[in-house]
Amino acid sequence: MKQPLQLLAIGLAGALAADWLGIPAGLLIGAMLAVAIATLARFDLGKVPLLYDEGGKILLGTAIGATFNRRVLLQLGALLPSAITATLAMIAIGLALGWLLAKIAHLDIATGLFSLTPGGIAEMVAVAQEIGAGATVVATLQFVRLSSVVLLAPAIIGWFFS
Amino acid sequence: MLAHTVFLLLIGLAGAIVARRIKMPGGTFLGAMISTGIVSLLAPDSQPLPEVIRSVALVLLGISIGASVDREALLSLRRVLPWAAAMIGILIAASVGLGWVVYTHQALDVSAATILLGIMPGGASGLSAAAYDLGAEPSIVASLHSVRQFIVFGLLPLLLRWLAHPGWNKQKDRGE
Repeated sequence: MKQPLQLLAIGLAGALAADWLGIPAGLLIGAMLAVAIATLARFDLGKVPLLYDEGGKILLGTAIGATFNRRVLLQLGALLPSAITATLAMIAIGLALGWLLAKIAHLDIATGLFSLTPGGIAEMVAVAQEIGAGATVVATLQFVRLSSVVLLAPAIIGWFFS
Repeated sequence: MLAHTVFLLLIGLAGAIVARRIKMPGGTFLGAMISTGIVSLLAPDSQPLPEVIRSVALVLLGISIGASVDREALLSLRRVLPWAAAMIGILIAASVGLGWVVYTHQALDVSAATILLGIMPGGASGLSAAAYDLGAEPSIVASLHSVRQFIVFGLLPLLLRWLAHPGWNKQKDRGE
């Protein structure tokens, strides 16, 4: 019972510190970095309780769903054809890079592909596990992909507008 | 206000439970978003949830992303990581390029931040969460990522068949 509370305390401290420093998306990034650093420093924080993971997703999903309106739907509809094309290109590039990674780093092809395909992390790991690819490698590289994108996104967006 | 918030949270929870039950790609996040999205579209007087809900969500999501770091796995991948980082860098650069093309070729005026966050190869919940603070439209970012997850999910059988083709997979024993 102690570990989930420690996890929450560390995450909250990081979130508040980053928010106070005015880091964009600070609550998310601060909590993420603080917990990642504590985990890497071998603090035994146990597994993330389902309540945190799914609870966070449900709260955010609900908050975003509540902002849906006709204007959003209209924009989304107008955007979809080009966004789907771009998404297909992203998937193709991800697969090509995954294949290249497998060749360069001597992984088996399936592991390389599932490590870089931009799908949901849970789905990618599950499929890798199912066909006997390196699920740990897939999970770790998918984590690196997700966390580096979240970390870099504010800087990229900022750079884009300058 | 409180009744409205509790009502929407229950709708979100119901959507999440259904999504989990039918194993929908995007899972509880997308399930909650779709169910409350429908209700909000149908109810013209629907209001956004109080800000504290999303702040709590951001902290919880940050904790679960951060906690999924695995020290042993990272150390064992020392050799692979620099290459993987380079590939991820290329993938992100490609998303910025593609995002720019989509941004400059649109009929409406969706912001560049929204389009970029919607196309970047990150997680649906993480990037939608970041959208709030980066001046992007979280609902569009989340929807674009849901579309991406559905496309990948749809392409998986094709990919698996391709991988099953003899000669593609170097690993000899798959333990099946």
